[in-house]
Amino acid sequence: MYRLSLGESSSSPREAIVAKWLKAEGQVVTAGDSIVRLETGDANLELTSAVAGTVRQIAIREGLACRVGQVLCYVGDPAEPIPAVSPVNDAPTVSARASAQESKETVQTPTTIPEEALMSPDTPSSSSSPSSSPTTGPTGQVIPILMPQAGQSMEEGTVLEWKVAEGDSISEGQVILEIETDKANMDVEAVDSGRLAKIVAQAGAIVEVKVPIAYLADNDADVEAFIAGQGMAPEAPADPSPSVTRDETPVTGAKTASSVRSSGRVKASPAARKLAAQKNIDLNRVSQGSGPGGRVLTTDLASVEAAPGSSVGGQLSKMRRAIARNLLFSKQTIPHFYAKATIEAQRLYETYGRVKSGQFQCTINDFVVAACARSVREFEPFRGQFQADETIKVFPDCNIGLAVGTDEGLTVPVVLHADRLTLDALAAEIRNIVEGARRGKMANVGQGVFTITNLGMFGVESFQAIINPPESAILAVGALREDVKVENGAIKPTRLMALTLSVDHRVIDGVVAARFLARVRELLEAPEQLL
Amino acid sequence: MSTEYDITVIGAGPGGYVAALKAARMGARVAVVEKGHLGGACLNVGCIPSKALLASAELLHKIRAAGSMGVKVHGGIEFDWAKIQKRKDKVIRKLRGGIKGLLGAGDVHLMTGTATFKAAGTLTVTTSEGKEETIHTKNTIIATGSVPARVPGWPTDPQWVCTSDEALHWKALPKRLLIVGGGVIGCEFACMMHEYGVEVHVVEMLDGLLTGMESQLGDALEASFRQRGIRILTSAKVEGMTVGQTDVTVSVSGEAPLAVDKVLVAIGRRPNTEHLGLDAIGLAPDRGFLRVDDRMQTEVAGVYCIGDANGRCLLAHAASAQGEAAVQDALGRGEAFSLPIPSAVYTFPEVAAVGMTTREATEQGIPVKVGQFPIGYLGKAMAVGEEGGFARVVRHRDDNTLLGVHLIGHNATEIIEVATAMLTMKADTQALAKMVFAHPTLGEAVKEAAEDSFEAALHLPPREFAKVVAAVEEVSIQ
Repeated sequence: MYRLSLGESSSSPREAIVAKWLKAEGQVVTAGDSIVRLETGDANLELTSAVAGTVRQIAIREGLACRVGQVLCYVGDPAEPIPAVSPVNDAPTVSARASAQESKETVQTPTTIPEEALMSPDTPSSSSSPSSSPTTGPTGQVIPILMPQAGQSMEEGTVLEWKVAEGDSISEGQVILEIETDKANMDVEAVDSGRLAKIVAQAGAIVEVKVPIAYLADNDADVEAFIAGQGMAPEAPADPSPSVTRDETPVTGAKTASSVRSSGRVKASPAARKLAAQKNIDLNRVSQGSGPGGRVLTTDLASVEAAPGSSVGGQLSKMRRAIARNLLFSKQTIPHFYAKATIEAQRLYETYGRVKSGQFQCTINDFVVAACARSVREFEPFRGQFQADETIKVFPDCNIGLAVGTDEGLTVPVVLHADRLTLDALAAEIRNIVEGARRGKMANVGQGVFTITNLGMFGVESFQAIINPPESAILAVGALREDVKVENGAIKPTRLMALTLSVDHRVIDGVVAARFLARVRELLEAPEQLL
Repeated sequence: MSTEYDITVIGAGPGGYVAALKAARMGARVAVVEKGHLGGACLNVGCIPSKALLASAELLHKIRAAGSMGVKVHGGIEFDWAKIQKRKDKVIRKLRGGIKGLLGAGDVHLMTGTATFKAAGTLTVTTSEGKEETIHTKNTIIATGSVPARVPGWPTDPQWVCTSDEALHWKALPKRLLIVGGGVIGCEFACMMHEYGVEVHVVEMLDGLLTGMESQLGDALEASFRQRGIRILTSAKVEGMTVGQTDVTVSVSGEAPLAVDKVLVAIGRRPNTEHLGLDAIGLAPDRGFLRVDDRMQTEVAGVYCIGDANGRCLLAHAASAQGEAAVQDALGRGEAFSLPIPSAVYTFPEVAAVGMTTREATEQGIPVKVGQFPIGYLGKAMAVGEEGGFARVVRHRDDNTLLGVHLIGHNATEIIEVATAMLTMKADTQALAKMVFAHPTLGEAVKEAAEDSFEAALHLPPREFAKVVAAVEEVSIQ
């Protein structure tokens, strides 16, 4: 059964009114069918379904308001039972309501282990592990706390901070930890009360959804027995990531045969593997794992000293990994070429000062964005993207991305239709999305055709940027600085600013890039045109 | 000395003094007991002083944008805070004088002091010098209003943490101000203080500004504030504050510690019913509020409560209207009071609303149709350079009854009156759509929005439906 709702996006409204149902209960929906029309008073929306099935229940009738994320209808198999919701006043779901507006939301931990989590621990060693079938059950009651799935796209979450410690009594509804997903940070509430016997995913751990991160039990021994009985790693493994050391080293020392696989890999629980990586411990130095089949557990590592010397970078955040992959891909597959122009920015500086003090809040960068947006509109190749099938696809909209540095790393929120906005609206929008990005809320990510990156505020004079794929160009903006210029043989004090354009030569040729840069210069040197 | 009155009103705010004047006009013997200044919170620490300060701020805002209207201002634009304060004080004094004159002319006996119940119909009035006087009265109208709520545990020194009571009378402006609460008071102060050059941060626990109102209004105001550079943190909570030598450091959820010069707490108001001796007449307030029926009478016959103290609607004009209703009931000519009460927010752009929101209608299961019209499409808006905002009309989807009108834009607080009139007359939304509005006016947006609710706004292109893929989540139903 699927629940359909108005999804969150920066352009979608927070609330809309159900104007008309285009499908009735009992009607069959195929993917792509329009199902309901929503009105906001401003923009009207027609929601289509991405899934096929039968409309089992309409949760909000015509004329009533729905919030982003609130269930509108259920689509499923006619044989499935109908969900028990009041068709008039379905309460908004916590996560959906929250995710529309907040960077932080509260979710609850599911405490039932889905079968697939039990069956496939997804550790590299599990398939051949002799202990993977459940053997002994727990003696006392053990309730696993699972990584919650907040939103259907969430695949894994990072444990940021535990608010409770092992041994604490926790109660239902209490916020017990904070997690980070690819979208937001959120507090996780307990759905059961009890004694927190064991935390298996410490801060920093990346855990798949619905995989245990901690256990409630009265006795610690029960938990160990439970874990051993499930034959399951007490923790989900992290994705392989470039900087995490994995123990692929063949066994050399005195190892007991039982802890070594024929491949030469030390058998260890993922938690132990990670802990070892964090503490820079060579798993080969563990003489005997105490887990089933000699598997090395975290408890076995306590007595092992860290290897001296080399340090291990620790787990990469999801964002860091994405940056690494993207930029490596870009630099390796896109033939970059660069063009630099130093523009005279005296008038730009004065215009900016006048506008800011007398008209509206703005920055120099807003002018740059406006000039680029207009130039991108005029130069079609700058809206082109090189496709895998060796064609170039041109996009109609001048959506401009802005590289924003945050504590976690680089993000590129995007201003949609930047060419259509007046400078004051553009400035406001930029402020909005940049502030949003700094708070973890990304606007229109991935919808850009061109990116601007500005390090001028740090005094950087000029630099060359890496194209943000699948885009074809990026402009690196340097500091607007006082300098001198030679004009007709005379030295004149003025202000200068360097613009360095990086372009994908597969899509944009040198002459086009030069003309584009000249147009940007023309607009910025007479910035009144942008007002 | 002991005197018998038909009606004694406790509190001379916008509820109390209006009730007293009404009672006197109806021929009753009336006393008013007031412990402070005439005019209550509204006149002394509320509506009026804030509007006076906002008026100067708005003028400043306009002058700063004069260039776009082709008006050149030579030299710098400056303001004189002391003078702005003085002007505000003068407005207050003048209005206080006006109330005093009206009460005197109406032959209302004004007593200065605090009143406590001895029994139903017997009150003790204690003057500031400690003199006690017992008065007998057939009816009592409690109109003691409210005070700004504070947060328990936060510093109370007004040098650091204040409420609107103190903030309206600041001798000097802070450089950096944190406003806790994005409701009406928080928004008005944010707007005003930003214009006076104060760095303003607003922290709101809920997910938007002006959350009781139609959500689009708060969203639009938030966008306007952000554009001006006012920092808005929604769904955020102040987790603690530390007073230092020269500033206050505030920790807000998910943010780096923020150092400010002052914190303004604008989280709501608390009823002023603690020292009335209500035990003596067997009345128990509900979280401070005295619950009343639609005639404003409490559970004790002859004892009425109006305005903020009854918690029905914390607005001055609601208090006045309730005051008149209470007097009419006390004098035997009462009827249930159920008129629509408009609300007004004096930010620029202004925000105003009357009637039901979409959300309220949905909660009551009433199907709605909305119409919306951008003010910027109007000739008048362009001509006067005030193009922001919109009018939004909410009507009953099936029977066309006008349910609510929601405005944001220049002069919205004046324009809302037309909607209030229609709603008071229980008009059909067609009547509002058909009504002839003067051209060019900003009020035309209301007509167009009413028309739009029938998809008949002539100045709007027909709306199309943009296709969007619905979010899907797989659920298992047990």
